[in-house]
Amino acid sequence: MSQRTLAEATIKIKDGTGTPLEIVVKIGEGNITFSEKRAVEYTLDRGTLDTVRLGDEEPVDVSFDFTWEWLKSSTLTTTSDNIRDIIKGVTPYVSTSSDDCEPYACDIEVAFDPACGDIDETIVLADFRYEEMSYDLSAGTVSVTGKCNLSTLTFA
Amino acid sequence: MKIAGIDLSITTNIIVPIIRGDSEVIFECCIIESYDDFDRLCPAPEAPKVLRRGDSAPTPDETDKDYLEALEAHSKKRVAYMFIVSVEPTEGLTWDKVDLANPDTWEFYENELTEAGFNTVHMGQILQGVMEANGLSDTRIEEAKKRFLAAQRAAQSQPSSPTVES
Repeated sequence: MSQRTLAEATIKIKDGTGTPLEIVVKIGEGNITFSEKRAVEYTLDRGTLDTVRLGDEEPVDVSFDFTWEWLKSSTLTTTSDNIRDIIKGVTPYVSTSSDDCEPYACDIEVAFDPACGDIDETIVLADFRYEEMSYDLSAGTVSVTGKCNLSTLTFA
Repeated sequence: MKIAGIDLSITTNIIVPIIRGDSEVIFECCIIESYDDFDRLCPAPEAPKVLRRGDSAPTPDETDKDYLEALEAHSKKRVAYMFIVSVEPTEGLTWDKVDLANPDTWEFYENELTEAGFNTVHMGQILQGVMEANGLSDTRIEEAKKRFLAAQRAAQSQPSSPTVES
């Protein structure tokens, strides 16, 4: 993955409806970070390093913090915070999880489409559930942290 | 409803004979009286709404790329629907893949005609019949306009009836 600026990116937040409802977000300023983790267990044989095994899978950590330039969707309202609604799963949004007993999840696609001929790239943060959502009213930013129910992400 | 004594509910189907070698196939094209079924099965796409920073309300974005693509796909489906429904009176016509209840199959009509041995000229002729039956033929509209204006001019140029003075 090459270095990217979020000014050339759009974010699509999608729900689990058959033809997904989605909100496209054009980022003004901010950042998105995510980390794939894995537990690696090193087994010793009488005090010396011997076998290496993978431990339990760990979910991908995701964090984003941004101001938006514009939002685009068929479901926009003026009476609520549209990004918050789709991340939290307010009606009419449907979870991307097929298990009704699991908490609501959505997919987040970060699409880089540089104007100057660089290669397009899309990062899919699938099955995302927020854990903390905080607002900075004076800066007009929303900060969200959460996890994807995946150990690795899809890059296309 | 009638205009000038003509019952407008009576419509005439357009007959399109397609000559193939020694034989001919007759297509019959009718007017489509209602697009209600089409609108129900294939609703028109809606432009996404865009909310810009500082705006108080979202506005439709009619330049959205996905919306424009959906609009183009919708108009292709409308032409396909018009074709399939209009040629329904054709005697013995059955489709293998086209299912009127499934919009995803409508555009197979061209493939089916090709597989049945109709070339692009034949398809153009049938489509012309469909357009004529549905009052969409520019040539027919122009001819009708000229006939109407010519009739009006003829009526105006006729001398008025002499008056009888007592």
